[in-house]
Amino acid sequence: MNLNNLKHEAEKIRLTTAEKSAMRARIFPTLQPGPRPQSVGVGSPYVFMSYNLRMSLAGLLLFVLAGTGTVSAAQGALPGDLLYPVKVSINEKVEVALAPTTAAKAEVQVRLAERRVDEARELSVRGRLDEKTAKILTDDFDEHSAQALALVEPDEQDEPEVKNAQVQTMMTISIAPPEADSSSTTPEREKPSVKKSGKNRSEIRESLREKGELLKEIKIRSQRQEIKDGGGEGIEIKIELQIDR
Amino acid sequence: MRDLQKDFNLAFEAYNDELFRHASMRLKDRDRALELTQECFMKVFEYAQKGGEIREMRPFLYRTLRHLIIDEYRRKKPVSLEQMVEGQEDMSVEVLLPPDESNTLEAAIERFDGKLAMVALHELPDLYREVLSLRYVEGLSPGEIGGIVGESENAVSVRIHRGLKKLKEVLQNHES
Repeated sequence: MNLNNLKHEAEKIRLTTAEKSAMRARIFPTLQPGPRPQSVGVGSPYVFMSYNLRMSLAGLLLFVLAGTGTVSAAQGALPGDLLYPVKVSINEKVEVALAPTTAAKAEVQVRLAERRVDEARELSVRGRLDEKTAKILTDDFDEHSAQALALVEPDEQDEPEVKNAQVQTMMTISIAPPEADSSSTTPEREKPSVKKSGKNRSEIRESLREKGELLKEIKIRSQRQEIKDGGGEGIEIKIELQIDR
Repeated sequence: MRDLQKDFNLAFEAYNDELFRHASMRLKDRDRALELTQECFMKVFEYAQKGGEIREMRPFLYRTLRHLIIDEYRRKKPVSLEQMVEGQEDMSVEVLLPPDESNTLEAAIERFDGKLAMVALHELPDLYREVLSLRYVEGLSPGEIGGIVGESENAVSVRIHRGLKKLKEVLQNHES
């Protein structure tokens, strides 16, 4: 198949961002479930509305910012970095919005929760994990965990053996402050990850609980390090993991 | 319902540009192409909300858009409608053409500048513009195009071939 000259020329015909946005706004309000017959299990119409708005806004913002490279540059940002809000507010919301299935959305949410733990670890290594940042990361972790669990079906039966076996495979996130001993480090290949498919609710919950514990441990070690380095006062650490157990 | 919402959003994100592009290449009037693209999405979504079955979203959207474009021609351009339905071609010659004949035509057309090719395409009857656009811009196979325009794969191949010949003629006229 040829005619690349025609194809390239035709591909210049596109909706502008404003046109696309306006079209979305006109199309999706018509989808509000009104008196029309609906299938069983219809949820609140406002849930639908918010989903579309969220996706529309996220897509629009991503489109606008992608051209400048800001979004891609933000991907590796850490809390406290200039681009971190872009990463959290745009990149990650788009990731969730574009996940094709509910299971995929749950996986994204788990991945984002894990990312908070990775960020905490990274900040801890760099000596930048202060109490405020730790609180933000913990809250965000809890939020993603709750979202992930809300998106997966409750298990029919609990299978402790399987669950425990799964937990055993999860790595321990190492906290590696500069002085930390080498035994605490973990090979890169053992980084936590969620399988592309097949995790049930109890596995996800257990996995997230593990991650929550690791986050807690990172915070505690970081605080200890801070006290040790600065000789400062002890800081009371409050961690409230709100994972649905 | 959640799946339906998700499908709608994904379909819109995935296909809005190509449907608009296709409508633009058929209608010339950009504003009208935009309106029909929007109407196409609305109609399909409403159809699905009412419980209508959509097996494959992309062909379904194209078929809906096609009907809207035909309605548009009927409403505004009765003469062009004749061009659109002149598709009862005599296929006796084309079906016997060697299979690489279209490739030769494609190679000849590709020599021309893209802008000129686009102008020339707009000078063709919509009958040909439709299949050439679907084939060479959107990359659909003759079989897929047949599913959209309601013709056999063979008929579509013949129409594409004829369209290429006409496009080449128009381009050569421009050149001379």
